[in-house]
Amino acid sequence: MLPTARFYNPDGPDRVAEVAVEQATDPDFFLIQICRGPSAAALRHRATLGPYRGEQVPAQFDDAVRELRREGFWPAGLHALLSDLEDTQPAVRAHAAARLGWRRNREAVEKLLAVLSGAIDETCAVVDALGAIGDPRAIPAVRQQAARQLLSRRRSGVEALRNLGDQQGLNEARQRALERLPAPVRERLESKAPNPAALVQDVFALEVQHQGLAFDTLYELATPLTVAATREILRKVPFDRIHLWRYVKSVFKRSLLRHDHETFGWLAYAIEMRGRTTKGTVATVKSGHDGQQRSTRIFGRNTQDFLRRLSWRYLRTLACWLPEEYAHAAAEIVIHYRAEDVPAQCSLGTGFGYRYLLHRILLGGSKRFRFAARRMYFGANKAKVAANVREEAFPELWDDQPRAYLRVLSAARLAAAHVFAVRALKTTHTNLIQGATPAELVAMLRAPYEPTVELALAEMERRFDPAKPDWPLLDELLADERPMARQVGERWLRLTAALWAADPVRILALLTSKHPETRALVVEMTRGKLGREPELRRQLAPLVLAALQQPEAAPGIHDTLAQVVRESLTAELQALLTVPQLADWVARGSPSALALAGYLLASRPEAVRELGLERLTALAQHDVAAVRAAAHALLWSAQDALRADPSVLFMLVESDWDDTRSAAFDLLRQIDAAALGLDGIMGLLDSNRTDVQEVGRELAVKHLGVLPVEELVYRLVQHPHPGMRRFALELVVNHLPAGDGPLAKLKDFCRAALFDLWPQRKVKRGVVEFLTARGLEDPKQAAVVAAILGDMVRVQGRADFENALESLVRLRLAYPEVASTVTLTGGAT
Amino acid sequence: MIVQMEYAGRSAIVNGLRDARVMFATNHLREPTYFRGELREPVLFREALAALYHVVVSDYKYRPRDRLEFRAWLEEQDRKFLAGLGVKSLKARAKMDQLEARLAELNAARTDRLRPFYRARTDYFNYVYESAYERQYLFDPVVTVHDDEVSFEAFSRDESTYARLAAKYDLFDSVKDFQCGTTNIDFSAKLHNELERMRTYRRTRFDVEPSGFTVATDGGDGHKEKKIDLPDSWVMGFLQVHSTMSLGLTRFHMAPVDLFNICRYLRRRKVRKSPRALRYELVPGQRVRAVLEPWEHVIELTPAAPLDGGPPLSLEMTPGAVYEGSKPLTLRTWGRDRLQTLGRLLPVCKRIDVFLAGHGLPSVYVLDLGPLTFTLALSGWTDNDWTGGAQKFDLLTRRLLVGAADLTRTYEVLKKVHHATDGAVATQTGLGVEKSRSALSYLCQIGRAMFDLAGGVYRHRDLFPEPFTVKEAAAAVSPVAQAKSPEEKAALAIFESGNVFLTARRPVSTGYKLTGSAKGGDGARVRPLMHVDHEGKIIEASCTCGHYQKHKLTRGPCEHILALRLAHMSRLENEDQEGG
Repeated sequence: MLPTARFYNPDGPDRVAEVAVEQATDPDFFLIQICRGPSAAALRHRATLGPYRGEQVPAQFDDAVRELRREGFWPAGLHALLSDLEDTQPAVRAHAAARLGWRRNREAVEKLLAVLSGAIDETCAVVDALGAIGDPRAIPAVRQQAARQLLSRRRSGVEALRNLGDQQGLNEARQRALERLPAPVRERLESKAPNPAALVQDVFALEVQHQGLAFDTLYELATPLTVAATREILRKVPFDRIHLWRYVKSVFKRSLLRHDHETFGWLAYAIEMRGRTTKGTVATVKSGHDGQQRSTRIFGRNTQDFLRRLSWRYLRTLACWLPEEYAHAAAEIVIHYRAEDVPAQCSLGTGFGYRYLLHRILLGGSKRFRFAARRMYFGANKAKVAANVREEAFPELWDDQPRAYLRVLSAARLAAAHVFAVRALKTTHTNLIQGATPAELVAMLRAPYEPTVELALAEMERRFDPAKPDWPLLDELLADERPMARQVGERWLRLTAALWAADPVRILALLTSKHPETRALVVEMTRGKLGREPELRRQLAPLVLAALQQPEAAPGIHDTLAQVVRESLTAELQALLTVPQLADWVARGSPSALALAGYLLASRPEAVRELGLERLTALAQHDVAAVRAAAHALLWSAQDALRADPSVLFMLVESDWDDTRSAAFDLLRQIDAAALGLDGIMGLLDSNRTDVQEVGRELAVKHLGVLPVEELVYRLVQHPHPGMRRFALELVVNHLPAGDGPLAKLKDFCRAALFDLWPQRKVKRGVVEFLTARGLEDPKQAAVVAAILGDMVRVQGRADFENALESLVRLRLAYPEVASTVTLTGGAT
Repeated sequence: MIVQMEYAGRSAIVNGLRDARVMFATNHLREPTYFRGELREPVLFREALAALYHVVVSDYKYRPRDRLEFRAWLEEQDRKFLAGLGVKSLKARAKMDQLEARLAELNAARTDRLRPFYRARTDYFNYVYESAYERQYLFDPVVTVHDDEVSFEAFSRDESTYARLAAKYDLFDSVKDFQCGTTNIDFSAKLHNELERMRTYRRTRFDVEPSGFTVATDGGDGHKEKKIDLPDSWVMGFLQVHSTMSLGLTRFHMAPVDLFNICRYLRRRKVRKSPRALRYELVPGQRVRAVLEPWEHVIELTPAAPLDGGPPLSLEMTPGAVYEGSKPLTLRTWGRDRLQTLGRLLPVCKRIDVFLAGHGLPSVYVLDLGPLTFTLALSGWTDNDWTGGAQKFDLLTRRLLVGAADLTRTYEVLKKVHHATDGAVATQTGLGVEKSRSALSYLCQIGRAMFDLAGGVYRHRDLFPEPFTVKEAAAAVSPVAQAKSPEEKAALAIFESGNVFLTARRPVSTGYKLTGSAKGGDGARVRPLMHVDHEGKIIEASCTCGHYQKHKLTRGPCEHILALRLAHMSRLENEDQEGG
């Protein structure tokens, strides 16, 4: 674009002059046209300079301008602004100062300093302007402002000092800022290794009324640490709260003065979006203008609208005076919008309605929409535009700074923003993607817009060198959740197999990848090589062991490592680990690691000796099945020891784990059961578990010939489990010795069977029959039976009553002398 | 109330082939209390502990069935029905039926395929439930070691049932060592299962000690810590139980077979309509009748076998469990299903003493097991725990004013002797029987003593680990603490404003029968009637007020009855002074 400059002479006959560069007939040459006239509409052609080559033009252009300035011409507008500085209205003076600041015209400095000396309401604007112009002459005056207590003056002063590059002034301001900070935050800042998270925590630990000043001061310090902390705090701070909003606004203003687009972008977005959810709160606050206490709405609708407009005004002014910054600042706003922030029907085609800033940036150049200022709403009008017309605001500035597109592509979370940027990359800036950094490319993989991902993948494919792969990028691709990205990563993995499969560290890194499919692929690809190369196995084994002994970074990693060990590294790990180490390992770690430890332990026959039966018993009751299986295997190999002392098996049959119990049963059956003796078999019968009781019953029946049956009966009848009663009754009926003594010992057993609230009918009937039979044998036994059945006839159940009564009557008839609850009357015989 | 319990080890039973050791770990945050002995009758003890455990885990509160799944199924049926209405074509209907049949097949196949998963999930949930249940909800019993017995006290999960198992030293072959005191014991479902393995053929050592059973296992020591949010109602329940027990209760005997008949009948029938009470009909000189509503099934109680172990009584010889009271009574008790927790004790029980507080009021069953005594106290009904239903049994008793110093002295005496009758305490404190009884009542009320209904003695038992202080004593007997219930305050107000008149007073052998007239806060004049003993304890009462008509005495006496008692006591005092 060829330069043009316009000038104004308040005193001359020709009040307006214009210096313009034009193309000469010969395309290699340019002409400089100088026009003058009484007004901008009546410029007369006065002189043509040139032709000049392109490289000569700037110097000649400056000469022409200098000539005009000598004649008394001022750059257009400057004279008016300087005149406005002398206006009686402070607002006019402030506006003029702000404009002068953006123009960065040093000729205004003296006048600005003069205004500053008597300024009140316009002080901030003047100081901001002096800072923006950057003339060192302003430093003393600005330092005075930076030392003031009033937040607005201090803010303008410090930010102006930063723009002026006054290190001394900034150091003084820093000291003051540190003194102003609350003690915990200051101490944290002065500690050896402060971090943003800790600072955030410290600020939120303060009382609310001190939090605002703290984060504003942190932002004032302007170190990367404090700025990061402030951004984090701002994300969590509610805007519509007294004591806080004032300082949020202060940070916003600082970000404008500092051109900190990242902070500005987020705040502009947040103000717009949070404004959708709150109308603000009302509180009584002291005015910064006159110091009066007033009931004021905090972050109310007017404030929100003002700030939304201010954000766009700032962008527009950037576009005018710092055009190279516009696209970057706009990109920083656009990237924060999320899909849920924008109604589903809003798009580049339909407009963004109430999303003022988003619409201004992405569709600000469109004629299809009209703006309803009161509602801050963009609605469609009937205008139609051609399909290929660019509708964003300041498209030429985006084209001047195309990296802003990459920022949008790598960070935006709204599909419409990606549509906008991808369109630019596919039409205007086709080679831009080649300048993207690896981090940007990886970030693009997470875009919510498929073409962006495709664009990134295509660029990655282009850059990929199988001989020298970018490993972090490969890791990113392999860990990505999108099948498309993972497919590329897996293909690269295959292409680079020769490189990574020879490096144990790289193999381990891939084996501990987050994605299970990647790990499975790596296992498959390394299986053959590990089988062939013992040296590689030897190097890999300690690494794998260390990884297994660390907490599992993602679910399934230890499982994969265990698989590799089982398939290829068993011998190497066995060589690295002793039995006690394995036993220790079993006590902690992930289930997969424990299972592997169990697997390794199972093939160590010396473990029986080294750990002992007691430890093996504990392992056999471990939560992990593989550990239990290992213990079972070792117990099988320790049959001789178990024959000598089978007590641990009695413990194992009571285990909560089915597999351990069945292993213990099998072992018990292997051991000569007769050797267990009565105590051993009773150990099983006494169990509360029915399956253990069943085994005990099986062994008891099998070895009844060699067991002391009478003792077995007496012991068994004490069993409280109703399921054991039938077996006990069977033994009682068949093996109880004759006589009243043995029968009397069964009193409790019989009563428990008869007075059971959940009875077994067969058992109850069997008990009564048995008692009747025994009672009829002799009077002594009859007396015992009568005592047991005496209560039974009072039971209200008909069958029980009748059975008991019949039994008692028969006893009474057989032995009338025996005391009984039944008396026979009516000549019964 | 967060209660922290720490156990150095776990309660466990270690079974060898020939001997066994039962170890109850005690809360080592409390006073050092221990007991070591050898059990003479382990099976009897096992059955008693099993019954105690059943009480601890029992929860008979009514909980409506969760019908979410059923409702979802109903909605699905509605949806299908409505969808079917819209389909006119026979062909479409046939297709729909076909698809539904296929869907059902697929659903069945899916259920089959997922069955192992569901089973594993259920097992896991059970495991989580059980472990969480034990850790957070199972309130460990309180164990008290005295020089004549070791007792275990516990409340059920629904806080409606109190159980106390007292083991006399006769249960033990030898008592090696003991230290009197009160503490908690670690009690769990696992322990209950292990206790089931106690047998007479194994010499069984019984230890209550802080260390418990400590096994160094992989991944953890034997240390166990519980932090239970103990409901205030649970604690208050402990206090109210003993208030109830020290009331003048109606007493009769029952044979174990009678309780068996009651439980058996209840177990076999599911009651579907009200009334659901267990009604005791007591007629002087006649056998007590237990009537099961709504079937009106009558069980005439028979006496238990003679305590001296004599020959069993024949039916003809049996005079019946005769009620020895002076006037006929019909008392209804609810929550009778809770009696089934005694199922394990019925075969080994010798006799049962039943104590009834009144209509809808608590009932207490004391089971004599020989060297063991099992006391089961049931609240008026299951949903009405001992405190949640605003029961105020302490209001039925009348206590004299006791100073903090007297209370402390009584506490010290009881702590020294561990257990004593009120008379013995009176002798040692020099306070007089009435005052001592009141002091003991206060101590029961604040958890520093308990009333042993079976033995008829007061026992020292610190329910809380904090030592008893003068400050606590002063707080317990302060007028504010005494008149803390609204009824008491209202009664005092009625009495002081002269709105209660004693219209008739008739001395009887057991005390006085009173008739009066009272005007409460609502301005209505009502007519309270009351039978009090000589000490002012309410034996019977009624009133024409709404509160009594609605609740009878189940929520304690109304303000009018209490006011009438105040008037009566005032008259007695005046008469004493005039006489003096």
